[in-house]
Amino acid sequence: MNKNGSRMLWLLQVVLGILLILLLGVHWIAQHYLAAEGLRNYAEVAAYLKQPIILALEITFLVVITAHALLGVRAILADLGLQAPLQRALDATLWLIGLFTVLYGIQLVWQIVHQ
Amino acid sequence: MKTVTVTLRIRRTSKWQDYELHLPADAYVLDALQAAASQDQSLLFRHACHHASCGSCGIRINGRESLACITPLAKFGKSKPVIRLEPLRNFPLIGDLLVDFQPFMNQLALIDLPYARSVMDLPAEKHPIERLQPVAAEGDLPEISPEFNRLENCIECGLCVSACPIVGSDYNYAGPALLAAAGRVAAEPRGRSVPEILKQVDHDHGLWRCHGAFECSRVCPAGVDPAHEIMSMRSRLLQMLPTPRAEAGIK
Amino acid sequence: MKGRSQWFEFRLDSGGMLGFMLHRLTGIGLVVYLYLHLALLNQLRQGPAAWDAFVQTMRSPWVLLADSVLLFGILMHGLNGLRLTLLGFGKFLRWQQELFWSSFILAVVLTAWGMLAMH
Repeated sequence: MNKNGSRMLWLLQVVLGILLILLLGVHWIAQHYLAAEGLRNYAEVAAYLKQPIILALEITFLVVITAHALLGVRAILADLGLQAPLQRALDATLWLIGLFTVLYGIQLVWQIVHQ
Repeated sequence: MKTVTVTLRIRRTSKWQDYELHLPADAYVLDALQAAASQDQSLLFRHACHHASCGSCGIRINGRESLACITPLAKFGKSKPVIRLEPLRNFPLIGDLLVDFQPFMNQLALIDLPYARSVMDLPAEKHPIERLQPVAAEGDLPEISPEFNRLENCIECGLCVSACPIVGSDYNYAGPALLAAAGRVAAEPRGRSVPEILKQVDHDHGLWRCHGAFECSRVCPAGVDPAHEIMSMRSRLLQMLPTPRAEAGIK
Repeated sequence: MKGRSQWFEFRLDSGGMLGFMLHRLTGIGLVVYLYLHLALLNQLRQGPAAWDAFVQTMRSPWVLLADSVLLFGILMHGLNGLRLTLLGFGKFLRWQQELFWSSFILAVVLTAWGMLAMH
């Protein structure tokens, strides 16, 4: 990790956390108030996601929450004082998991919107 | 003279052993421990000044990190209390209540906090932990003057190290004592290089491994408030972004 | 894993320790929930009929209880996260315990409110 790495990671986690509070609020409001049935059936979900702003919101939400979650996991595992090579392997693994999570979400939404 | 009967339940490496003792009501846990040792000379523990100045007698009393010399027996109730004694955590165990302080001392030597601080005594704030404002003195320590010089708070007792939940799992973690010492040196560099001190603590297993459990400050018997030092240093470092660390000073 | 982990020790008189513990527990719980939720969303791929049937099964009182636990987890983690942010910037350090208890009580109250609203 570079000189300011730890500082930046902490700050990033804080920023992501604050974003999450905002996104969660918007996500919750959108789901409960914009969908008449509260997104309880497939048709509603599809219609909901087809709105470009909603789509953008949900994808952003996914990216932010995945990043925050995996940074949190990293923080917990770092408390085990792993040796540098193991820590690097862990970081790489978390990056991969994050990437796959976001890709999974994007392609799932894509499928629903284009069905 | 009122006497009390207490039972010390002492962790003897791999088992518990009880000692029933009779002591003056105003005695301390350390007195009880000495009474137990006179019954059983194989009991291992450490003590020296008996007045919270040397930091030798740190142990866990009923699971809480404490200095045995200033923990009164009266604290445990009047009716024949059973007081559980265990060694400090996160130190190599020598035996019974005795732990090896050498690695801890070696670690602290890396920061090499001077024994005396150069301060202007300000009126104590309402908070129980007295905060004194340091005057940053560059170069040599000024002439020792009773009004303005006193010993640093930290008595190197290790209670904070034992209480910290992270020290136990992360053997690379700098720990609250070291980080607090670094905070003090950075506040009063006296000609030392602040960036060098920062380099020792501004990393993933230094300042940024703390998760704010605040146990260190809770158990500190000497008003060091390591949690405050850690958070203050972090806060200053955050405000220094994106200043390159080489140019950054704590003040 | 080396070292004895002192992460989960319940001490009512240590707001800081309770905060650390709850933040860690809720964090882990929320990560588990995240992936569970994402996995369940896969049901959407099975088409409208399967999804609608699945949603109906989610209307049981057990799920409502689980949702309440989730809500508490989100609130506790978020509020304590704000607390940790303030403390990390050196603010309100003397009031760290009070900040914890305020966050905890607020999380409980809002969870109760949310539960009633969901019922």
